[in-house]
Amino acid sequence: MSKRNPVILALAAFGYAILYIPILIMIIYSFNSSRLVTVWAGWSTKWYGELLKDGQIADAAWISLVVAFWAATIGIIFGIMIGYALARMRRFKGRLILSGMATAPIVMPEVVTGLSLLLLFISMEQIIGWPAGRGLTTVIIAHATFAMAFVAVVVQGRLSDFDVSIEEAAMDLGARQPWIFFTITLPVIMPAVIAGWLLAFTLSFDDLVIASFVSGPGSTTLPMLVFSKVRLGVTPEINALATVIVAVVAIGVVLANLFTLRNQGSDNNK
Amino acid sequence: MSDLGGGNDPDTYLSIKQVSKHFAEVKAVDDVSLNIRQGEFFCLLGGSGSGKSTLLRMIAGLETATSGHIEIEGQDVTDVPPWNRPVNMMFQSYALFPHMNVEKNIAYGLKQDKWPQPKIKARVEELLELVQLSGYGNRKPHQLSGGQRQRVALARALARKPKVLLLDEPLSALDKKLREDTQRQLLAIQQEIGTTFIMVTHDQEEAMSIATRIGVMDQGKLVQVDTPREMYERPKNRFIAGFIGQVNLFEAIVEGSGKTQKIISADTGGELKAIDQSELETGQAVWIAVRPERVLLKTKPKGKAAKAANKANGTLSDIMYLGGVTHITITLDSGKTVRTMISEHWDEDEAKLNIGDAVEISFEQRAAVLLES
Repeated sequence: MSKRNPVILALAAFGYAILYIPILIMIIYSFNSSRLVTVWAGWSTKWYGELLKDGQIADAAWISLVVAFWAATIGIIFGIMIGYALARMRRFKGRLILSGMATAPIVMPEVVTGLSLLLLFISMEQIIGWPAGRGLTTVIIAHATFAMAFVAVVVQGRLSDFDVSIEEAAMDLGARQPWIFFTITLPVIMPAVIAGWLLAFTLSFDDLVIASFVSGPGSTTLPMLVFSKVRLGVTPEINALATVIVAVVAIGVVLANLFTLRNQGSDNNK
Repeated sequence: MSDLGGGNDPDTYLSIKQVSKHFAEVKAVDDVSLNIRQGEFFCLLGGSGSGKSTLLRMIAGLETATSGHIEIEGQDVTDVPPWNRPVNMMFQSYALFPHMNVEKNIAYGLKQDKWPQPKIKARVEELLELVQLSGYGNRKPHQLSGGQRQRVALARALARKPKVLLLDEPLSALDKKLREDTQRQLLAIQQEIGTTFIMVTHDQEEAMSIATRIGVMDQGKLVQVDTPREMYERPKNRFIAGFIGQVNLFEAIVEGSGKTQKIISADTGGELKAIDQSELETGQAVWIAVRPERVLLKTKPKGKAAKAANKANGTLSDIMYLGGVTHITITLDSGKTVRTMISEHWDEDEAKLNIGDAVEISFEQRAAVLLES
């Protein structure tokens, strides 16, 4: 289509406006020098300064980063295993159900995931004594469950167009599993794995609902802190904090997309 | 049982003994026996689904045989896993490791075999020289052309000095011009190193020009194993005759017996005499195969010639000028079409040919091959 239809352009602009204007306004107001959120009083970066001084926020941000890092890392290990199994074992009983089940956590209402995990952790504590109480560990495990699902989807997608004869060539040249997996398969799908990791990291970083269910004292994540602060009224400080979160998430998503694109690029050169 | 290349050949290097491979209900490879000699360039030729690739993959160990045995130098390797077999394979897609450079690709197998680093380096250099890619060691596969990638794949497969090199349609991804050059290179390399090559291809011209012997497969069975010349001159049945080159087939019936036995064809309206014609059953249906270039054409025939053997009358129905050679189609009086070709000899005859001309065709007894199936 060489001629751009103005109606379609207008519709697209409208759609994007609805999506991004609120975020844009929030970002602009994070630079507001007034203490009143709704009154514009000129540019300032002082709320970012306040943010840095706020120890509570720094703690929560650190917890969120730690949780996101470990959740994403555990997620890729199990996600690769699931993705590999689903992509390679083309025909086995219950494959369809398993592949549906692997992706279910993505669409499962977070309240359900959070509540069920909370119940699991409580019964585990009663039966085997681990994990003791709710805290960092439980949040990480909870986030790893959906991180796993995302990585599985990305890895399965990458492996489905993977030339199996590359692995056969390695076998023919004297290599055996799991050596082949680590020297051939994993390096080739690495961009997809990194993209999956970044996606999982991002999702864990901005999760509120599941974390609220399974966290305990001393494991308040950043979104949880923001939410509790907002209930007492929105402050410009929160705007600044939200802007930082948006920046972190945006960088994660952009990097993930870049890795996916690079991945496709190297495939086209095959 | 297709025991064609089988039997007890003392020169046997690789021996395939009654090997079958079934995928569920499908017999991909059906009771194939074949002996391959050392230093041979053997081509497995067949259409898609003929089982040629499956047979090759069984030699490599990438597929397990449902039944039968594969022996290399008298050693049974049927149950040896692919990583322990003294064979290497060059894949149709080349299957180069995309994240490794050329050098590391070639060295991969040597590292598995725990070669010391300096020896690996020397071997890689030697191989790069062999495939004329010296100086390309640091390139990644995606920085190479199709032909270069093909040569890297060859070098990698040869690195561990396999007893047998298996090539799965190694030239199918190259364009026609490059393919012919590469065929020559492949043959030169094979002669230089003397390794036994087994190549799978669907291109009969490629097989004819490159192989010392060809094995033609159809529907999982090995139909004929012979040198390219024998395969062309003496096809075993109609499938081979039609698969390798072009052919005119005349349907015929055996009449009489003993010394008065004759082969009579309704297609030519007369008797046919074929090479090595032995005693046949009376009433048996046979086919006589004649290559187009062996069919002789005579314009302005005098009267009916069909009384004599291996002759027939007809009319010219098509003339196709192709430069060096002209393809001619003749419709015999029986309605059967026969193809022949004449090459340009600066004589005037050909220029005088017109569609609709009455002509006489003939062929020598030694040009006619008797097929019983």
